[in-house]
Amino acid sequence: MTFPDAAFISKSFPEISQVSLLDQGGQKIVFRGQHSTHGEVVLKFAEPDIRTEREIEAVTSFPFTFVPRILTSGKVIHNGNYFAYLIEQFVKGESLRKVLTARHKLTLTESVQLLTDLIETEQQVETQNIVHRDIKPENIIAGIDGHFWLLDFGIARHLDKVSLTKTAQKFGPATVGYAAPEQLKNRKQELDVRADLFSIGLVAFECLNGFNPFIDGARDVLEVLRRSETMQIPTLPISGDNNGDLVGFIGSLTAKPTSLRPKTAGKAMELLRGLLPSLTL
Amino acid sequence: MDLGLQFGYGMIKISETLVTKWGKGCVILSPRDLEPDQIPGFAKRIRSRGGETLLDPQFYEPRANWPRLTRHSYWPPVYSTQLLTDGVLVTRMLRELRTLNISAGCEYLIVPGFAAGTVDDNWIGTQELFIEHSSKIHDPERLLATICLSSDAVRSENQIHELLSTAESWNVSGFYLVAEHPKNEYLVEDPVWLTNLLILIAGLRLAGKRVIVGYGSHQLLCLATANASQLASGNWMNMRSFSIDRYILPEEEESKRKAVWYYCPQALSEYKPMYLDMAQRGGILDQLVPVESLNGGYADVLFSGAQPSSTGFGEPNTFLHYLYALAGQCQQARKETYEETLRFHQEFLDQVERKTELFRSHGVFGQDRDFAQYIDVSRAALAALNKEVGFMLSKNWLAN
Repeated sequence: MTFPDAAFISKSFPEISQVSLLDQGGQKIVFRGQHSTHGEVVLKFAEPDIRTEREIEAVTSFPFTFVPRILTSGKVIHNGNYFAYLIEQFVKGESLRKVLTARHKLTLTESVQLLTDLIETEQQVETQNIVHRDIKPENIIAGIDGHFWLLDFGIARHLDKVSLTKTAQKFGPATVGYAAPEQLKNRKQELDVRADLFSIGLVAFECLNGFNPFIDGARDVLEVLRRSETMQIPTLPISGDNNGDLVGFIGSLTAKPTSLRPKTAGKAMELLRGLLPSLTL
Repeated sequence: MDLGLQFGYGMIKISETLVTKWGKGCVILSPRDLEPDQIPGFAKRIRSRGGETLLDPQFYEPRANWPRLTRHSYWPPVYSTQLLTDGVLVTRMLRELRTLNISAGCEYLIVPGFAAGTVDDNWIGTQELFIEHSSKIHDPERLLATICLSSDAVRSENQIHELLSTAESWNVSGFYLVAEHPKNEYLVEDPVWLTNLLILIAGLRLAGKRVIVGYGSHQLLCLATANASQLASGNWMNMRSFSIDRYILPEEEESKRKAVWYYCPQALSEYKPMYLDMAQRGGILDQLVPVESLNGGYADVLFSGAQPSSTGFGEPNTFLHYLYALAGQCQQARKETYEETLRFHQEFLDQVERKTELFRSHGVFGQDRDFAQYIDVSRAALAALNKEVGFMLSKNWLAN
């Protein structure tokens, strides 16, 4: 199967010009381009499976503040193969992964902004009964507007819909090193917004400390798995976190049992807002 | 945190005396130690004195063959795994248990639960079976699920996490938690065991559930930092530390064990009267007198000027004194905030260290009940609790 290319886009989407490749994975290809009406846009092509449909459904279900808007979507035929496509808002900025690679860490102020934006997004996600399930630096854009945008609802779980993962499957869809234990173990009945809060906590830890404690120094993916399921993140003091509340908060987000995490994204936001006065930003 | 009275051999008079003195108090009834026809009358006497009752179904080991226990109508005549697959049998058992609870005037029904050697899918399945059927015949808001764990299960962080992740969704208002002590120890020297117990309680409380911890001793006063709702304790050692063997092995002759101990609450230690003689000889006996709020007068004779070992201090006063003092300590153990509660326990342990050092320097030893050797166990567990759950407890300090 060959993915659509720039020539195909020029022909099939004449309203989009200046097309350039942004990213390519095994199941999708992503371009950037200039849309005659919407300005800069992202154009994604993927196999038209139910996960793609659910991603579109997830993102269009609510006007999320920090999730790029889907402008249009549909299906095209390329070289005899059907592809689902979607054109979405282009967020100016860089992938958080690139930022971390270049700068190692974020400042305390930036990290708090990241927590605020991601938890706010989770509050909105929660209202739609969705779990994103793949929050990691690669799926976050550090926008030039100073906000952090969440991308890629490709493996989002719609809690009120039939699961696409077999119950007997030992591991659930996830990125090892960022996913919550219950997600890794495919314990679907325990899966809710707290799995995303776990990942947000881990991303925040990495932004503040410059490393992912589950991945850093691990021999192999099995050790990352083991650490994800058993290891507590280290308690490292953060300059400006005067009472240690931020460290405690991130520790609570990344607690292994779901019941030790904030129950809802709303509760997490309340706790975050409550600790802000104790920080020197 | 409240103190519950764990019923066992010799607890009838003690319970009645203390509930009368307090005008309140919860007695956790033990079918193993009460004949079926004794329960309603005893429970009525407790209620008439202002107390309340709970009934521990003690279905920890369904093959237990204790005659008094198995004579109760809720106990299945023959245990077979059919109990787990036949909804009619389970419902029949639970209905009988409910009837017994009603006859004892219990406000809450403790749902039976097997002892978990390991917290695994099979055990969780049996828990959910009992809870599901109980919630069909009794208001879930008035159900407490038994969680009975082997010492190995308590020591396993993974199993505790597994349990926490599962139990929060159980349709009950709270839990009756029974944790086996490692190696049948009275006081536990394993900080991992105590840490995991604290984490478990904290997690259940954060899930909005009430938690009653059965078969406890003064060592578990620190459970107040995890916001435990109630700690239950009793007279003999086997009412203060749980062992599944008690439900399998032949009856211990509890009444034959005559050693007398005096509990010194400010040192969290117990001393035989002959060591109080040493305190008297060293001029520090008054240091062992409990403060007024913890002194029910049951041990006054020890401090009357006579040689303590010659005063005849013994049962039931030794137990009345222990439970009265422990009840007062339970009340003091929980503060308005998590931070205050934690600080209180940390400072209390420092005080216990100073007291036990002073006593030991005068030849006053508690032998294997001297808390000096367990102080660091509590300190370690409190430090771990604070690191792992302190933030959440601090922000979610629920009322009892």
